[in-house]
Amino acid sequence: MSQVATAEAFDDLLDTSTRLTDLIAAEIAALRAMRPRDIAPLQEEKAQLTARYGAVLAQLRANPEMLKGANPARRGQLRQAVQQLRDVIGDNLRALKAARIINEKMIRVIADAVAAQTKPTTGYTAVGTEARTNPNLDSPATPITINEKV
Amino acid sequence: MSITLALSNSISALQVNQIGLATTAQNVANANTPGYSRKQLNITTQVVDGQGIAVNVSSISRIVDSFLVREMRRQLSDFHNTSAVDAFYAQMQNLFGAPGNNSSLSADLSDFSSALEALATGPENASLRFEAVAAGERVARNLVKLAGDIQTLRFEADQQIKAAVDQINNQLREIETLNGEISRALADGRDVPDLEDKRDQAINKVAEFIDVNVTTRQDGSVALFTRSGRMLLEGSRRFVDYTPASTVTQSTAFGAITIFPLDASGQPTGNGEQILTAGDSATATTELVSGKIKGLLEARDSNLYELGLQVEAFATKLRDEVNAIHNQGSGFGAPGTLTGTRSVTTADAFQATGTVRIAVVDSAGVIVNSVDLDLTALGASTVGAVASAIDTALGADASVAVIDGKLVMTATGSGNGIAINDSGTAESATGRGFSHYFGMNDFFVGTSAATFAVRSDISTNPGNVSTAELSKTAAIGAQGITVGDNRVVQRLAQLMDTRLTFQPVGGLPLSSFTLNEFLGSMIGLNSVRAADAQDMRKAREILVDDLTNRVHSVSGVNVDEELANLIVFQNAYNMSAQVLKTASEMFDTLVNILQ
Repeated sequence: MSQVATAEAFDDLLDTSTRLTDLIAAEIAALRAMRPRDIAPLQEEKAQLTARYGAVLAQLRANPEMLKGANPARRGQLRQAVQQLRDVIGDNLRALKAARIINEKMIRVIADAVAAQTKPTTGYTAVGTEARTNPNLDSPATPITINEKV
Repeated sequence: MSITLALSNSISALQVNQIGLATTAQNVANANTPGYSRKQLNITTQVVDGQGIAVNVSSISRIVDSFLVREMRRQLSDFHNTSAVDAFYAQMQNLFGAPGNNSSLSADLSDFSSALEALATGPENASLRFEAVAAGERVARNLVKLAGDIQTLRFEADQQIKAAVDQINNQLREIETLNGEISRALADGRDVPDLEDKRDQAINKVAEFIDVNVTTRQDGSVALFTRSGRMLLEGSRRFVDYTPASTVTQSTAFGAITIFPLDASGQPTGNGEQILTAGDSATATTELVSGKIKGLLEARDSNLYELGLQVEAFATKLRDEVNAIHNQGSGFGAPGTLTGTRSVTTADAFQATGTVRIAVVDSAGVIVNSVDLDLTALGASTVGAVASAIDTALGADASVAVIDGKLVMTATGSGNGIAINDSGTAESATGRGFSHYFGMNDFFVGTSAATFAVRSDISTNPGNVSTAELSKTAAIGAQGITVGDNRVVQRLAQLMDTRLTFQPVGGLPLSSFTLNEFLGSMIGLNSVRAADAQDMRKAREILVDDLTNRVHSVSGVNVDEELANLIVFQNAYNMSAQVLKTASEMFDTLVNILQ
């Protein structure tokens, strides 16, 4: 394979690895700073970079000689870049998992609390039938807004 | 995307109720102060379509708040549990040395194996004998150190349990004092958020060490219980008591951790309630669910203890397999005295099959006198009778007797020695050959890994290493032991490459391994467990941090946002999992290409 093609393959791989690493680090930072909204816009670029990464991987597997022409320093640089990506992904998955766990528990707690309060209270009328607070409704629907003052 | 059915139902329930809780965050100057907690919200609600408000929103916020605090404390306990386990695993990894380390037990065992192979090619070579003995001594020293280091770590874990118990008592004292101050203030109609924050911090400190459930009383005081229901503080505090062990071995029986009520003078009283029973690591049980003490107990009584069992199993196998072969032979220049390692009395029963030859040989290996004792014909006998029979048969050329609880055979005559060939013999209870049973010619001695050693007279005189076999047929005056005979040392060398059966021990399954492979599997299992512990610690650390941030956050509860986040997190997680998969495959591919 030509020197130029090897160099291009290297640059492509190095660039993709580095950009993914930075993006994932930014995602972690947003999660830890409790700014989950900030990670949504990152997902599109993440998907694109991952697809590109996958494409380069497929190429490499088909043509392993693509990288063999590179000098040892560049090889080391590439290995390090991919290793860094693997390391940061581990942290990223942990951060996302923690966020998901808390998020799901919060929703469950809120839903349970709301459900407990919105259960219609029933008792018996004077003629022994079930009395209902709002007999025309199966369940009350009440939109509310709250102003918080601390 | 997958959401559990239960969660899906929760979301449906929220949506059916069409509740939207939107809050507007306000800046609070000291939002970042450690221990600062959110103030109570003033909430107004709106009525739509004349329907009454069915939801008390302020109480939902309180429920969420108290859930967050409870969950944060629970995760704090879990984190410190895992952290303690992880810390000890990291130290256990160091015990084995780095891979490829020249002074590791694996390396020493390999050296011993090589030295035996070399000796098999030149059994009369003094320097090869010397090296074989030196290599054996390195293995022994390494084993002793490993066994000792494991117990040192268990001792440390035990001491840390004591320190944790002391800390709990300090914090309980603090909480008791703060309870009183807070109750009095609230009764006077004063708000005391600073004291409450201080108390929260003290409770969190307790939660680090031990799992807690906290209940707030009407008067503003808190009561603390363990998750298994033992009272730590209600009104007045209790006292957690633990006495650590002064020394620690595999068989040490540790004390109980007991919670005592205090009498009027502040002294522990009554029988108390045990949250850890007394006993050795195999028998002690605990009802603790989480916290640092649980982690330390796991390190002391499971992880390190099991590693100790594995090391013992290895040491026993090494000693018994080497000794079984070593007892079959003799050094050239047989030792003047052979002293058994088994403790015996003359009255002990002894029964075996086969014929054992015990010979007195001179310095040239020529047989001076010998006896072929038919153990099958002897039948059920005693140690004393057997010793006597050999002693009588060898006459003035040797004396054989039980001395100081050991069977001792001594050749008389200058330059003479004792040699034994016990091939074909088997003691009825253990199956061991005659010499091996009594430990007449062991290479490795010691009852445990901690006392493992090369037999002292082999250390001082490497000529005593068994290399040759005593002839079972040579007559008196003929060559009993021949120069260059390497049959026994060759078997020793082959032993190192032989697959042996190892019983299940400390989490390792029944296996067929060479000695070095067994070491490898021991180290491998420990590495896997250590990596898992580290991963879990990292995961729990993040959970605690995130929950702590939530507890201290002033932005309130936004259900729509939580629901939206659910989808964002799920998608991001799936995408990251894909990145990990691709990056791992990329790394493996690169490693192959860029060799």
